Amino acid sequence: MTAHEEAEVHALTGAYVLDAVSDEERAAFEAHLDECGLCSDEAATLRETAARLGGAEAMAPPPGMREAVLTAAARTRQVPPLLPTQQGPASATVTDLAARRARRARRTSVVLGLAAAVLAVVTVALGAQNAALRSDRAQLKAAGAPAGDLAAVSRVLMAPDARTIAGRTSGDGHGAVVYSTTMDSAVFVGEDLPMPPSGRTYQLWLLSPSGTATSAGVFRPDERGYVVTPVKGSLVGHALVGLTVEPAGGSPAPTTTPVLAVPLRA
Amino acid sequence: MEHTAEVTPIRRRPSAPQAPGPATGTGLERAPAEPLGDLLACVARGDDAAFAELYDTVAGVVLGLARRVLRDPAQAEEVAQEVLLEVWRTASRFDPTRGSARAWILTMTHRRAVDRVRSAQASSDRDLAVGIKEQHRDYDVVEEAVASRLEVEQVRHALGTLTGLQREAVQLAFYGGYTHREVAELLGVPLGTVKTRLRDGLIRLRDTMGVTA
Repeated sequence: MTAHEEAEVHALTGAYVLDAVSDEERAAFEAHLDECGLCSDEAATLRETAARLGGAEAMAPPPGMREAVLTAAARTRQVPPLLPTQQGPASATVTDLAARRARRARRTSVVLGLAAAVLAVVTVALGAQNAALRSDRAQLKAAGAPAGDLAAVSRVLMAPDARTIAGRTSGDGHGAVVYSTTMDSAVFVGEDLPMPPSGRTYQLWLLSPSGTATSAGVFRPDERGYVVTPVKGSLVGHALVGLTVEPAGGSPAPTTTPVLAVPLRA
Repeated sequence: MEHTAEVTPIRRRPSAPQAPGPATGTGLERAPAEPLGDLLACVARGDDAAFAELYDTVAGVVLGLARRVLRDPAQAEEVAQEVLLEVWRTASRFDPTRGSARAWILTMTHRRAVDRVRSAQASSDRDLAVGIKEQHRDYDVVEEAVASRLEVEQVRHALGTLTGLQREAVQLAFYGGYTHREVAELLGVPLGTVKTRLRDGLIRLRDTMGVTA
């Protein structure tokens, strides 16, 4: 899948929850939801939103309907629950979420395996600790980063429990999040990131499990597409760090498809 | 505005068992706080009385949404009955960690109503232009509505915060049952624009109504 197609797929969450897609598009998007936690979480909140639209339409049912439905139910056998180990049947509908979740968990572990490989490279890069940190500091200074940011970055990178999770952007470039649970803070490291168009900026987000996004700061990479910047805000209650391209100055909520999402719990 | 009736209050049965607590470990679970989710858990165990109570709670919403999409009262009632029976049949497949019971039921309702629209459309062409005019009018006029005034007002207010294009796209897709391709054709805008408007429109509705999933 090209980066362009990939971006197209992400953008389908709205049409998907509104059932404004063909059967083929739905199938393709549901396969995507299995793999993309960000879209999956977004789809969940948008589905609740659509339900609110539907909920405002309530009307009184005709008198005979209750009896008809209850009688039909009394004559209809119920399906058993899906067991955790069960595969979703080929006829799985959108309601067979347990199976989907299981598939996603498996794929996630593959993705995390790949991430670990990328991480090794990033770790080597960061691992030449002094040189790397000096270069990070230089980069931050060059970017006019406040001294507080510098200190925050250093503290996270050197925290005993610092963990690095790497991800690949949907376009060019790589990004990794280094975070420390005890410090309750994180740093975003990116390389080969495409320069955003003029008037646009990268914006980091902290995403809650329910999909609520809180801005975690904006940045523009240097000419080489390199950046080291603190992820602003507390990690508590958040499951993902996301990256989007936004109008200069940032947006109150993401307005574009994320180019990168990194889970905070591996 | 005719929306004076209140939604049928949920009648709790004192003996209703609690839904099983969420599994722990991944940190992604939500507590099944909604009464409808508890009811659905009872329904999954074959509790007829719980199903009757669930019917009284959601039948009006299920029927109203089907009616809004299908317009034809007889077809809407058919779809509503099918959906409610499907809720009974597949209650065990509802997963409270993935969303609310209400959204689960209404998603099913909308999907089925839209499927009905599309299969009907294969044989008889709908007048798309009329569809657009009706969308404009309809968001003010809801016949026989029993939705609570608060709910209706919240949705009206939230729709009012959208841009014209976002609102038209969302309404045509959700209430009209059109695909995003049809919406693009109707509004004379590129497909990519419609996809984006549907998504950012819903995001704005979500944020305006404070929907947290």
